[in-house]
Amino acid sequence: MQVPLLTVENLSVRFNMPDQVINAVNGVSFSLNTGETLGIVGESGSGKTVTVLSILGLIPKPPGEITGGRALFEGQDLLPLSTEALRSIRGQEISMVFQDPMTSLNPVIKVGEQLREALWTHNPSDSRSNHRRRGVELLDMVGIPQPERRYNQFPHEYSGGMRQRAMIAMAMANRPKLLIADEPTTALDVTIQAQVIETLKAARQETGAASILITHDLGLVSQIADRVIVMYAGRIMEEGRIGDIFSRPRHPYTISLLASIPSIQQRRTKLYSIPGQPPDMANVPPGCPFHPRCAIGGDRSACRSDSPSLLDVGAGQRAACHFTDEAAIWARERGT
Amino acid sequence: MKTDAARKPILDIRDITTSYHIRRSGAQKATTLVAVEDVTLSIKPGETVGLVGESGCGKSTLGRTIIRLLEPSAGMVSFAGQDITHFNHQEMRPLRQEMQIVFQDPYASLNPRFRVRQILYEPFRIHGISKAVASQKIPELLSLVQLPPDSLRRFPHEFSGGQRQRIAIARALALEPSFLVLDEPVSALDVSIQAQILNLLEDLQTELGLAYLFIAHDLSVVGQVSDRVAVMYLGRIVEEGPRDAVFNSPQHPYTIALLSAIPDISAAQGQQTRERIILTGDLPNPLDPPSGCRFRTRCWRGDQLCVDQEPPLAPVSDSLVACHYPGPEDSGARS
Repeated sequence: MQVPLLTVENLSVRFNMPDQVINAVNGVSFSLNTGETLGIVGESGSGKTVTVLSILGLIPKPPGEITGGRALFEGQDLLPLSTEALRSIRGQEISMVFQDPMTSLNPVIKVGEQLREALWTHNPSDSRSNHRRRGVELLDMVGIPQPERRYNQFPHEYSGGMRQRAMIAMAMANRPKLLIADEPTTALDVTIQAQVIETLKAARQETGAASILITHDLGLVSQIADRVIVMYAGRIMEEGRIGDIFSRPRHPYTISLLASIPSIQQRRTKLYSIPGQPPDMANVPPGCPFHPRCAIGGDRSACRSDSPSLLDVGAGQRAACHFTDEAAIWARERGT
Repeated sequence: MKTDAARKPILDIRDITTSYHIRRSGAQKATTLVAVEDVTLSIKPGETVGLVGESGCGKSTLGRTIIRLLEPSAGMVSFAGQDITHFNHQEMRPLRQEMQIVFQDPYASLNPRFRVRQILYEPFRIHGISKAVASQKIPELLSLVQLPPDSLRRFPHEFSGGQRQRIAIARALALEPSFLVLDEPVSALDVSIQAQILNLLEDLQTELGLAYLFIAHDLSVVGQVSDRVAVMYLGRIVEEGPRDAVFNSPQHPYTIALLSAIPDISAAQGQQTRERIILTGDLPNPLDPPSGCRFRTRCWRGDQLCVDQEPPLAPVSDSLVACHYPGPEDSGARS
């Protein structure tokens, strides 16, 4: 039995705002093996980003507060670690790529210098020229043309896609064991997105790093992740291997989402539209948070009063729903 | 329904070119950015034409030129048989009732200090329609976009993104237009809300016989709503045709690449998918577009002809295609 690289157990995070408490993450558990890619999908406010940021100690406290759980990285719980201890893990063992490459790069420092700094921080004894050589190598690895010349340019001289690739180079600089990418291609055009995804895949392959991809885009996740977690209102609704989740979803939320996205392969006569609005995170409905919008649970008392736990539904697939069998039948009838 | 002119296009643009004058700092000379060049397009009543392309391709500029928020530097715009290319502000005013626009960001397009009642009253006020008529129409508008009647008392910030987009659509429909430009109307919305708005737009079209120009970067969304699709690249239309022709048998290499770049869930569902083509390089600088075919710097089919000559938009099977070497990818055109 392989020991997972990262195990998150029962993580709960809340934000204590002046006039309300927001329970952003509620009892989230998952694990990630070495070399594996996990997708976390969900709509805005579903808690996908907060989950990951709190593991890395990157949520502001206050107002943020981790109210429970553990996050074991190679057996060590990250949650109680000091800022300094976490800082040495971030960038070295675990690195991140964010959505907007323009705000993550320093606009007044040359890209090469920023790369060199990342290398130097975690390996200060090495020589400047070695850092430089490795920096150029990294730019070349992520497919930036003329890496020697590009090394000496400023971020504004890069296009959006190149900036994001430079960010990936920086994230890969110290051969991390885990790469976390939060909506890495959301700001990019489709053809550039395709390039960046290929770069991510190549970088992953080259370093053997495990990765977590956070996105709202089900299509994207289906192309690069091995497993996926579907989040809603700070909870995991469903988890499983890509093939299982996309062809045999068992949670009504997953089924509804899949039925509501247009496909370029065949035009649907009418998209399924999930009724209602996303939950107000300060006033999440009791019971199953999805019940007011659910086509199956609806007004059943179990759904209104009891929050379903995430249970095995076979083959490593887990779903948090009282009526997963009915959901599966509904999915087949819908043809999703 | 306004179907008496069903065969005649409601909107007809010919050889439209729209440019922006860009002032540069210091000693550099002012330059002209040609955002849209030589575009011809027509839209029939009740029809949806989808306009797709990546950022900077000129699709929004074209949308704004069509409803004359911008003046074209060449070409002709005609609406309902009337040449409006050089109409001034005064002359455009009565036509504004007929053509409306819905923008991408429902946070920026609604005045945060106005209650929904005032937001919806604005179009009536601007066009000098009496308060009595307006107050009769406004509740109807709300029910048309499926918002509860008590919304009128509330401010935009009390609504979610999807509900705000409904308010923006209600405002656009206030004066019973026959044509709407929808500029990325769902791209700021969450997945579960996108479908609601797309379905609403389709219902409204059926009910009111509206014509849409649907502008989006997301091909799957465009494919869902459009009757015809036009693909733009660097200011020009490179392919245009019926929805199924463009999506099922794309002819222009750019359309082929664009379609193959969309991450689609079909593969994960065990269905056949098309071969993935990863374009190299970035969009060229629109201030200095390549000679000949503008797509040639990223194209895998191009040769000297593409450098020398700009390909005209010409019929290929069911579509119009601007390429010297059009055809589906498996026809062996790869060089």
